[in-house]
Amino acid sequence: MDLQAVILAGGKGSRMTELTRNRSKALLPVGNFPLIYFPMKMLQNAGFDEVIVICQESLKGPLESLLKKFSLRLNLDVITIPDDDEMGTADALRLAGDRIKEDLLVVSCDVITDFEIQRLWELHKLNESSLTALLSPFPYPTRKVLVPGHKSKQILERDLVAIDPGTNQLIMLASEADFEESFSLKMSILEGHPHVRVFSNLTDAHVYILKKWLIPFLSDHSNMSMLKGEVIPYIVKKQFSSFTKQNPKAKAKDIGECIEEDEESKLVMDRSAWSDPCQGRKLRAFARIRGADEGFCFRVNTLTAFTHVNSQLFDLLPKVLSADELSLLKTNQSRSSPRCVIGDGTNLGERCDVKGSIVGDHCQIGAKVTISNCIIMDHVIINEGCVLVGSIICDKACIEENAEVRDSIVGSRQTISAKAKVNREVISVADSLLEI
Amino acid sequence: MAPVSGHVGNGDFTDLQAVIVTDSFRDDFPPLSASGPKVLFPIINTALLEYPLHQASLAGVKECFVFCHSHSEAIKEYLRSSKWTRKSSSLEIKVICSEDARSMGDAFRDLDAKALLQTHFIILPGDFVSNVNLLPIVEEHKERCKKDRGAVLTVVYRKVPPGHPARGRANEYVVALDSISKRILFCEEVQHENQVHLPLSLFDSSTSIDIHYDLVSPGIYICSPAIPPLYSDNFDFQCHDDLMHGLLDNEEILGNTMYGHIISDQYCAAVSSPFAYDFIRRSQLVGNVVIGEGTSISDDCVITDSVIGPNCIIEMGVHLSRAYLWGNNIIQANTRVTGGSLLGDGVTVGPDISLPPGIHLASQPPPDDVEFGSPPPEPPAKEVIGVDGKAFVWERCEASSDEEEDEKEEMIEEDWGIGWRRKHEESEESSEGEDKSETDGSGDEDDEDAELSGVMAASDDLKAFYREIEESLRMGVIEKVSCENLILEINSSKYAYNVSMKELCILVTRAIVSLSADTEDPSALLASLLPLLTQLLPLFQQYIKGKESQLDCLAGLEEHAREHPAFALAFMRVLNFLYDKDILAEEAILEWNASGVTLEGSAAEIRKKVEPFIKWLKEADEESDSDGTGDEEEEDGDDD
Repeated sequence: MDLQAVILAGGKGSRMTELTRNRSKALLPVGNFPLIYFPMKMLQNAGFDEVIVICQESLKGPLESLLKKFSLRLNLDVITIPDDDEMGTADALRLAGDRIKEDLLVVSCDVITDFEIQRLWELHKLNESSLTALLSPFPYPTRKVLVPGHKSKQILERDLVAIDPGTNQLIMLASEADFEESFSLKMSILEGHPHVRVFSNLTDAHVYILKKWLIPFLSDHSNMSMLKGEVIPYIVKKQFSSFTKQNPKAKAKDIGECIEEDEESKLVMDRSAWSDPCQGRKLRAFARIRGADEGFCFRVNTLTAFTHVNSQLFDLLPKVLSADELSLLKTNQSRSSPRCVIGDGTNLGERCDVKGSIVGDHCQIGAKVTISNCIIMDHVIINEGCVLVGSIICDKACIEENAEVRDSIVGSRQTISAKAKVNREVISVADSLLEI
Repeated sequence: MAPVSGHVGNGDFTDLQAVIVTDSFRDDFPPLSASGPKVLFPIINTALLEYPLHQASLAGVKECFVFCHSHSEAIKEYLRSSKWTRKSSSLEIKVICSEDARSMGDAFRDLDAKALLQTHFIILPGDFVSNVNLLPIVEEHKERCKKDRGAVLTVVYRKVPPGHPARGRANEYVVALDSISKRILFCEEVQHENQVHLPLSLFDSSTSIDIHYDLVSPGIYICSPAIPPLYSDNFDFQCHDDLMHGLLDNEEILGNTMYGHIISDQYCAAVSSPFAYDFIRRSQLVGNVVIGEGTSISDDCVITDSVIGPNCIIEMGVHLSRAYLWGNNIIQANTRVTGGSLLGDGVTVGPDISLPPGIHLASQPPPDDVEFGSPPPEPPAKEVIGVDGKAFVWERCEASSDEEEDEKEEMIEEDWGIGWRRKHEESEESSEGEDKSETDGSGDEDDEDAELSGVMAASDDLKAFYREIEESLRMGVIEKVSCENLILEINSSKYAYNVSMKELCILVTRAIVSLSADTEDPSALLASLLPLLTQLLPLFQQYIKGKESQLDCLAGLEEHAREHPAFALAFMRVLNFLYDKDILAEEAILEWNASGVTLEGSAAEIRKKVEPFIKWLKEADEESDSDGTGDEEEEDGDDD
């Protein structure tokens, strides 16, 4: 595959700020793997040797130790952005501008999938696509989910995706929130694509292949900040309108003028009997829908997704990890049920009961503690006699004796006092409460 | 009364019933339909009604109601002598006559009042041609009714892409179906819409929805017994479309659901208009000729793609191509009938005449009906149908008075489903820019491209398109048809053959100049061409706008000049004429000229011929406003 791979890891995790205050989204635990391990491993399996990673400065160190710890053979080209910088996905790609020599595979750091990238690439190549996206059926059985720390059920965001089922051309990719009461489609589009299938059960996996000429286009259009929110809708929409001629006053070039045609594929097109699904239009976007038999694809970009993937760990991970990696999911069979992960340097006290939970590294867990269906990050101290159910405890938190925490989130470095009872709350520093 | 054989009458409701409504409750084929029912029109010498009857019997229908409104006696008479009323027939046919019924809805209210439909039944239009196997669709319908107790209707759709001639009037709608269950969620006409709007709530019950703009309904429905009472309960339902909309709007109240069945590999089409009639026959008859009983054909005739009915007399030297003779016709010697012409029963034409292509002739005068613009009842001129001709022309294109002209144009446009499209393009332009680049600062906007759907047409299509417009232009010039109507004809051909605007500009230009006299003498050619150009000037004004199309026009002229040396000699004069009339701008002419400077051969030769004119243009440009237009008149003689 003549592709260069980029992992976008600069995201702040804005849909789960309760967890990402003191830990980068890329390092959130899935079992005892950091989230970014999954896209890295996927790229290695797909045959990539070099991967560009765009991330915050503070992530550079952990990334390198991660390579060693899990013995990945990837060469990472890390481009860093300042820790406190708010940067969109398109802004991040712009930073990689001068390193891009080939078409680009863009993967978010929060994608867990074993989908064969080759198949996406085939669709991209076959159709001379400008942009090819991977879509995956909605991973949850229902749209309303109860998550720790929230009293009401969260309604999950839904995308509306329109595709020409004959060719897989992408007609529209938009969030449901972009529409008010109705989904609208232009008649002029329907004339060219008289059969359009609209899906509400697909999520954008945030795995895209972009033509390399899109990078200079992005550099010209610095006002576009988000790939998913701005760039992709723009490209999809522009497929159906004519390009404007260069206005000499305009600062930025029209997308029509940025398009570069590959000489070789042009020659192939001219000489083959291939019938072009896009009727010769140069800008075209396609989408590949992951079939039911094509593995697994999941994005960990919300609190719901994070709790879901960790609670289903032992069902989901065997689909994406090899046997060797699975053995790294260390379980303490003697003291707790097999569906648990206990990290390095963590001590469990006498007569502890740990069920269906993930416990990070270097935690101190006292005697007679009950932990059930929880995610406990690193360096957490849980004192004697505590009961923790369905909760997320962030790094360096401390739960004092005989406290009871149910369906809540305890933020980083927070302390729950002795004998306290916490139910469906987010315990965090004051200012962050405002954000929630 | 029609022979009604003894009904078994055992109350076995599992037997499938069918209803064939023989009347469309529209006057589609005046005056031909005034003299006889449409369902008895011949399609390749078989009455139309045979098709639905055959279809019903193949689908396992036991009892078939033939509902008649007009011409019921003729239909009864036909059925009495047909094979369907013989003892061996598997169908039991019952003819229901109702003079009062004014709509499809009335027909079903009548059937409900008579309590004839007690089981699931098929509605078949009386005027359609099909090879669809209905049996699996009926089975599917029954299965669905078991699962979804609200299911009352299965609509059969046929896949026909937009712009296809088989899409008739009233077929411009968008249907949305659940991709998995095929339940119909949405159905809306899009005559004047720029967008379709699907309620978001639809996505709560469907994970994926198919939006179709490529479906037409030939009028076949599989109904549950709940349908006739629905018509009775809702007096305002005039047709099946009303029923569908009523069910969709009141779905929550009535709880009734509808499903669609899409066929793409089988044939069905309704004979809803003369255009559809011609198209359906053509699609069945490629390169074939069918000759009816008792017809005699003399020597030296050339007959292609035609259907000749019974008892016709075709005399010497007759040329028939895409001609439909319904029977008892006399085509006298050396007559040409071409281009989809339709000759009703008993029409006589000729001798020694070429009928205008696509003419519709009937043996009786058109009905004196105000609704149809009361065409003059006197027989047409002998120049048209021949000295011994006996026929009346029925031409919808011919406007009889100014007030009705607009209305008629609309009717023609509707027949082709193009009316809304033009409006759509216009309004698109005016509404454009509403979502002016939120994301992009360069100020570009969504100007929708009218050629969006411009399919890379096969060259056969282009040839056919060219032949068609040439023919209509030739007739138009002879009959002095108004340019507006010619534009309509060209536009409909454009849509029929999917021709791009560029190709249209080139081909229309070529077709116009090719109408000039076929002569070697350039001045004679000019003498015939210039009045022609003056007459057809509105066509140029319609299509040749902007530099692109001007270059296309020049390309068309150049192509023609290459093949016709006489025209090449007159080329400069033609350029000059079009320049004077503001069709071609200086800029385009100069660019065209410059584009060929480096070329050799014919392109360079042609440019050489127009050199004086180009030189004058350039000089005039330099002198700018101080220039008079008198001097070019003297230059035109020096090339021959």
